[in-house]
Amino acid sequence: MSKEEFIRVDGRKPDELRKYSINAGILKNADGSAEIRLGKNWIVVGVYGPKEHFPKFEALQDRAIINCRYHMAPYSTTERKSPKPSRREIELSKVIRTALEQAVILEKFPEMSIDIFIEVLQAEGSTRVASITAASVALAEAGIPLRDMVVGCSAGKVSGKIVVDVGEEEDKEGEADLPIAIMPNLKRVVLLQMDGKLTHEEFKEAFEKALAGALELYEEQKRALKGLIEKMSEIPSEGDGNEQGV
Amino acid sequence: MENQEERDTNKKMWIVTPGEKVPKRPRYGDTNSGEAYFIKTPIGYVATHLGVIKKTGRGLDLIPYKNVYTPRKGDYVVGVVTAYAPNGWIVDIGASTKAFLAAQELIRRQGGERRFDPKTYDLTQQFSIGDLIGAVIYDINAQSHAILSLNPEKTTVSPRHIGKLRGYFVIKVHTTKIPRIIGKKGSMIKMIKENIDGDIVIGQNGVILFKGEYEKYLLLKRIINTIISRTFAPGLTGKIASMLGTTLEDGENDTS
Amino acid sequence: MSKEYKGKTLSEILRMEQARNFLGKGMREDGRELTQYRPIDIKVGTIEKAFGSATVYLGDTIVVTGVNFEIGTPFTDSPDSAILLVEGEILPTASFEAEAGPPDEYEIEMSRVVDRSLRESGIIDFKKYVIVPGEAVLKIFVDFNILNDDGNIIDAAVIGAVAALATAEMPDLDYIRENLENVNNNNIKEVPRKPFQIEEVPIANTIAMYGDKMFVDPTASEEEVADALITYTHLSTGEICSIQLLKGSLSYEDVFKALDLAYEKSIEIRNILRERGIISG
Repeated sequence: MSKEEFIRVDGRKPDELRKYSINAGILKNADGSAEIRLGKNWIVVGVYGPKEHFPKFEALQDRAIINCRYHMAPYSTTERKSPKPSRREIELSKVIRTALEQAVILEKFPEMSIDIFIEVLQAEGSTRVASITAASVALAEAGIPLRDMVVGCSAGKVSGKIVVDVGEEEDKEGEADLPIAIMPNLKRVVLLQMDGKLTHEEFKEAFEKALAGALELYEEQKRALKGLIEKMSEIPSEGDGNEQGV
Repeated sequence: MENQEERDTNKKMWIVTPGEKVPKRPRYGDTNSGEAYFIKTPIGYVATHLGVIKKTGRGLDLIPYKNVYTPRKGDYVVGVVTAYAPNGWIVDIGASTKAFLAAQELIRRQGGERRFDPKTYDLTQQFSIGDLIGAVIYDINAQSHAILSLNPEKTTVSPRHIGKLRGYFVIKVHTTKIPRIIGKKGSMIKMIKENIDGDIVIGQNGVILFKGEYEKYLLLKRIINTIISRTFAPGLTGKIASMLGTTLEDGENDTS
Repeated sequence: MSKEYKGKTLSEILRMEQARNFLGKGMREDGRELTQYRPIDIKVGTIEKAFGSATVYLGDTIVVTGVNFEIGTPFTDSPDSAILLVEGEILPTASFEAEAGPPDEYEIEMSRVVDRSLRESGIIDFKKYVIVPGEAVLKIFVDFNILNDDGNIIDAAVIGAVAALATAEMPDLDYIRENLENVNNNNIKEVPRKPFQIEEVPIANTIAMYGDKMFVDPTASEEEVADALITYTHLSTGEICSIQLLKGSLSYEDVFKALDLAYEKSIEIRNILRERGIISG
């Protein structure tokens, strides 16, 4: 059971995430936006609002409503995916929304709604947790008040070993998949799903691995957000710069 | 974590992201808007916004990268009529809550004595959907709605900027940028107004209106973009002065 | 309207307030202990036209499940594997909020959690039900409907699916193979039958949190006021085969506390199924 000897399909170590990067403020029209690349995953998130909720009779007088759509582009998968929302996409939109709702201070915006559009342009496994990670950066970029960031990562059991950040190939062959999302400072779990087969001990190990992966990605979230301010603190050079925010 | 915090408090300025702990018992918000950008949680006070914490004489300020405009009593705002209410208009001011303008306000402004009567008063004849309206926030009601007034008692807003506004160029910016555009004690906007001919209107909700030559509008837009993209940069006033083709008097350039 | 009371009748609002008052004191509105299930009644063979069926009463929650078999073409990526289709619907009769029409996201989530609980458990040996490899396999339909929703429908639906599958009769595959020309999905119910065999028994247990109180088998109004809901599905081996955080958030420690409670309750329900003669062993 020596962990060091086990090398994964893509050459990674059990504790190793795929290559990742997060960028904030990438869409000019959106109030907030972000993209994440995690392995071959490429996911773009746009946040609009808060704005008045329509239809009005559905608005809530004590808090804002979050509309969240997780959507995969037809070309994002090996086999073309129908652009029509599938049952899987509807379920993922719901679990992503409820995860983000734990962090957003909704009470500040009665009768309003906040739209979160998640577009998976290329999918390579663990898209739901990558989507949450990017969406939370987009919400922060929009200036929507948050109790904490939300960051996700998956773990799984592949060839009898517990590994972090399950890729597409591994998920197909794997015995179990455990996506989680957390609020890293408040130390709370906001998304937890599992399918496959795990003993209680394996579950604990997988949970801890996913947690460590999420905390690593949390550092990247902060880097992406702080970069926005660092960019604005540069000594002004000639030229007008971009028109961000106008 | 504790060491990190102590180190942070010794610094003059640092960046925070939502969820990051901020020093114990923060006395600050954004002193420009009075808004608090932190919240008490089981782990202590945390920031709710991406922003810069700055030490000032008054304590600590958190200047957010962006925020959502929260209406405040006395703010001059520019909005768009989006719906009719039984006794007035719903105005979208791009804020965290809805704004309401009572028909009685308009009757008073027009010097009318009569009480609003829904049977005889045609709301659509006065303001219709899509109209641009300038107004002052008179109150925030219990449901957090902003109540708009067209008859502010104490205000520096020119009467021509109240009521229906026609023929303006519109520039929308995030409300967090308004304090920078206005500058310390109004210094930035004063310099801009002195050097650009035309009528410049600044709504606290991030709506900037301009009436004047098209070329001047483009210059104003360039200047605003520069202020926005260099929000946290030193020497901004000097940069804007040079864009306006003017020079600064001694001590005018703030280094914050 | 506030989120809590949106679209609710006065009696539901009153029940929610009641649930809040009781749970705050660590009590239940119906006199149960926090870790006590409501009475469970399982009737099998309630739908004679189906190959297998069960009606489960969990307190006032009623779930009807029907199992059907058809001959189908296997998926190209798994040519020698039978097909399982699990779909659940909350009928308009189930509550004031339930509506006719396409399922909403809660319904889809509930249905997919039940699906995963069955699929990942190994309850069905998919290799066993191949008629002609690559060409014809058994298509297994598990359809369940919520007739009355008084909460915890996932736990009840998994019990219903297990009971319906465990007591189902399937068309004799040898007979089908010998009469391939004549047997089709229109006359499959006339084919001689054999007992269907299940290989494993998954049990789903939903754990609810209200403040720091952890409790099982929430009613509809308890679900409404709960801060968090999480479902764990266990196998007879003690392994977990499905987890879903349905609502709210949990501390890291509570994830494992809830897991232990779910496992304890899964043993209890497994024993009930055994005592009623629905499963063996």
